[in-house]
Amino acid sequence: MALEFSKLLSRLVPRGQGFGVLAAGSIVVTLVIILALFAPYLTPYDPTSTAGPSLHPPSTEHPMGTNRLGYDVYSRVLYGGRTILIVVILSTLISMIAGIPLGLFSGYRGGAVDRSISVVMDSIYVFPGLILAIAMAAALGPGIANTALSIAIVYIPTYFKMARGQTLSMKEQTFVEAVRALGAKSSTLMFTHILPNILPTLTVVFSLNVADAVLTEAGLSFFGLSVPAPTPDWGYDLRAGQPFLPSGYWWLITFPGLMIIALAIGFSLIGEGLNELTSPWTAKR
Amino acid sequence: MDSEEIKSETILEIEGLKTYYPTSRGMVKAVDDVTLNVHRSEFLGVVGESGSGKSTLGFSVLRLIPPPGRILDGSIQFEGIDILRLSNEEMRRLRGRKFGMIFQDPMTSLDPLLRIGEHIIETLCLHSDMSKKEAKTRATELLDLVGIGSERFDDYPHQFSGGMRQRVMIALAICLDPSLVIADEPTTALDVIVQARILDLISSLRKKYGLTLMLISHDLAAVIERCDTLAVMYAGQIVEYGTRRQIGKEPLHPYTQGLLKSTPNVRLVGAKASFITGPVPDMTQPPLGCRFHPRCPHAMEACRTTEPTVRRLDDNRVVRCHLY
Amino acid sequence: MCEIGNLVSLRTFIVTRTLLTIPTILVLLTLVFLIMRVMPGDPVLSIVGMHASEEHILELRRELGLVDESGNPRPLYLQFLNYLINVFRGDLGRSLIWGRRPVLVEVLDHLPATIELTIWGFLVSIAIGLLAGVLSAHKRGTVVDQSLRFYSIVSYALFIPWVGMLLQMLFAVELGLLPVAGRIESGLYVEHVTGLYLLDSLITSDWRAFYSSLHHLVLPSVTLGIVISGIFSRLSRNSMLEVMSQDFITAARARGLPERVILKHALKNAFIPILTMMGLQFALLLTGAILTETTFSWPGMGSFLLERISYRDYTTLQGSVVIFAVMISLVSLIVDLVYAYVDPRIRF
Repeated sequence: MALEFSKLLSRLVPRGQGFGVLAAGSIVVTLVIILALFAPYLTPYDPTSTAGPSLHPPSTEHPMGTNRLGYDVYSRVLYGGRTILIVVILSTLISMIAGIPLGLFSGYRGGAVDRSISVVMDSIYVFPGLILAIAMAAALGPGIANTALSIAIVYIPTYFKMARGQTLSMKEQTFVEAVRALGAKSSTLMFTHILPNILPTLTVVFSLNVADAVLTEAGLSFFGLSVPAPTPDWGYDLRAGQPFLPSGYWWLITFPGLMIIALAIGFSLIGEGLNELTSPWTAKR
Repeated sequence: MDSEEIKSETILEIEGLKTYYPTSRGMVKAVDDVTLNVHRSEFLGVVGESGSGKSTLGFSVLRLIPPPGRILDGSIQFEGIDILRLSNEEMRRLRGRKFGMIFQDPMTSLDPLLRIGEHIIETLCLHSDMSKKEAKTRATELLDLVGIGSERFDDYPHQFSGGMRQRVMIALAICLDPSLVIADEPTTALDVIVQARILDLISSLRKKYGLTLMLISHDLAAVIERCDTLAVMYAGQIVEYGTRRQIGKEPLHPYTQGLLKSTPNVRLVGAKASFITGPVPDMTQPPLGCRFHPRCPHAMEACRTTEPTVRRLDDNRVVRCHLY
Repeated sequence: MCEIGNLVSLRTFIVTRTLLTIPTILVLLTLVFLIMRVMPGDPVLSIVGMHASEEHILELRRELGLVDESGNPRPLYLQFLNYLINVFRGDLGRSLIWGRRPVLVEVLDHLPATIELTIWGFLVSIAIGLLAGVLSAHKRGTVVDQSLRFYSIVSYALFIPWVGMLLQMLFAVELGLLPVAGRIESGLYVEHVTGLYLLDSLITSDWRAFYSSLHHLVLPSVTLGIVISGIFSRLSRNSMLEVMSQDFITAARARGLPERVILKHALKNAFIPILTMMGLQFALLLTGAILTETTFSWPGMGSFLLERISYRDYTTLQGSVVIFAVMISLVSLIVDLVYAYVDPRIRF
């Protein structure tokens, strides 16, 4: 396990543009996380109570202005980061915990079991994620856990496919045969030997997937299906601010929107950077 | 060389050619100081193992070296034209019309979306003033020439076998009556029986139309059977050059000798096949001195330190070896 | 999309491919069914309210298939069977609110708007994507290539509503060049032929409606197109690079064919893998279309869904998801069939 990880790290040594992309993405994501984490220290206002005059443009007291209810937009942006990060991390964890072992198992087992599970997973995979999440979230109701679950269901096939694919290709390799000949149990094989080799691909899939999940959560909260108001959530604030656009109140949507994109782009860059670094043949392109 | 052939004009003069490819491991000196002349209607065979630079030589003449590879040094004169000084557009016009090339892998050398008849029609129309109708007639003739019936004119490449596809390639290569045809390992990807047929086809077409042909191959037996002259390449350089008779009867360079000995020859009953020991040289760092010395049974002190110069012998043979 | 050798005839391919759609749809139907059954609380009560009569509640339960004729609760598997049968009969139930119209009818009313937007968004995205991808491949390694590749990564991460709103702010509010929202100038009416305003106004020669529809289409299509274009850009780049490195391209160059002819052949070859990918992108387009609609008050499925969600109209939601599933399977099937037709290696 340690060997694989150190191999992964050694590959992160600056090589071509992959590293630059990875670095850029990491910086952005780290920034957002810091802003969300230290929100209480970065703003004196409560994002869910009136802090100033209604619909006030950016000023020294309110660097991002205030919304219709007089809430400080800057605070809502900072605390909104918490909301989206919690939901996305939670949902990704669920997807991974459900999808990866299932993929390992299905790929390893093969046969009819594998085929049946794959059909189910493929069908979900092809279906538009946001719509599925909308259906689930509408059924489950608002809340962090429900939203996380709705999003998780959408991405389980992603992790499943990855784990299964890697398992299939690794099943044939000699070291697996060797370990099996030594009498190792299937579960040992799967977790101790195959799983660590999946790590490089996993990090890429994870990053790109989180980027996707961020956009899905934003979509859900845009539809009002994420956490209940007045909890700060970027997508919801975007929707709430839209009616005021024709009147020129631009700060209501610009900042939350920017944050969504920053987080999504950040993770995308990390994923792409990792992709360049971990697949030598892609690097040549 | 026969006296008639000496008098025949030189259409291709390669001098001091150097074509290198930069790679992550270093600079691959694929062609390293090659000097070679090709005469009109000559059937030249360029023989060598993989990595010897023979294919690169062929591509260099057509200036088809993919970047970042480059022709670094030397000159190529073709029918009096300085090839390396031409613009890209001028070179493009020469290709196809004055040069024809047959590629190694027939399975991937044809456009899968284009009918084979259209391949030829397209080339004809783009290089000449032929109308589509005229081109179609000519294309049908050409296909017939290489042994493909007109009923297959509208078929797609994937509907043909490897050997048939190679015939199409041959038709494409000669369709504009080129002055020089370069065949880069045209039979390597085919099976043995088909190989012979294709080589026979190429030879017969050459005789019929007096084409100048440069056959690049690693199969010494096939080459020595059909070609007029041979150039033996090793590690990016020509180590021996001579007529078929000269080399067949008395190979000078130890590498050529080794090649001949390791070629199964049905005519020599009782002869034992041997092989050349040692690994293929690393082209980013070829051995110092004579490049063949690590594998040469006759290696001397000088071979390890100094590169042998090209020696031109009386009977127009060329050899690059300290033994001479 | 698996590679089919020319051993498998085209007919077999069509048949097998069509049959494959069925399990996919079934799985999705099952999923939707299960989702709708996990709702906490009693959906019926939340719909009719606390003061409804017993008969009313029972009638609704009967209609939703939750109980059988005599009022006994149905086991889950029977509910499922009932649901499946209804779906295949085309009965997606009725909306739970207002006029209680059949879900199928309501969805079909709102679908053309979404289809029109999806088509135009798709066209914009391939226009941008193909251009960017081919250019990127042609100028591989240069700054142009790098920036276009960066663009393809970043564009997908752009949140559609935000992009839409920015464009609204700029072109509609500030510059006043284009309308902020809606599908057509209020008061104008397009005679219904297909439901696609642009096409219909063309057919009926209603030029005022035509120009208005066109005007209203610009911002939403561009919004959708920009965000999806990144994927096509990357696809076309990879596909072109793949094709350009093939032997037949070198062979064509060796024949002295001009570069633009070679590019034409390369594009034709590169397009085939892109085509297969396009089928997969339909799901993305649909998602994007829904987000675009709600941003631009475009009266399609997106706005429709948003509205019904807020009223907790579960049957409509369920029915809509079913229709989406069918649509996607159909599009995927059509794309695969087109691919089989276009690639001579499969057709012959």
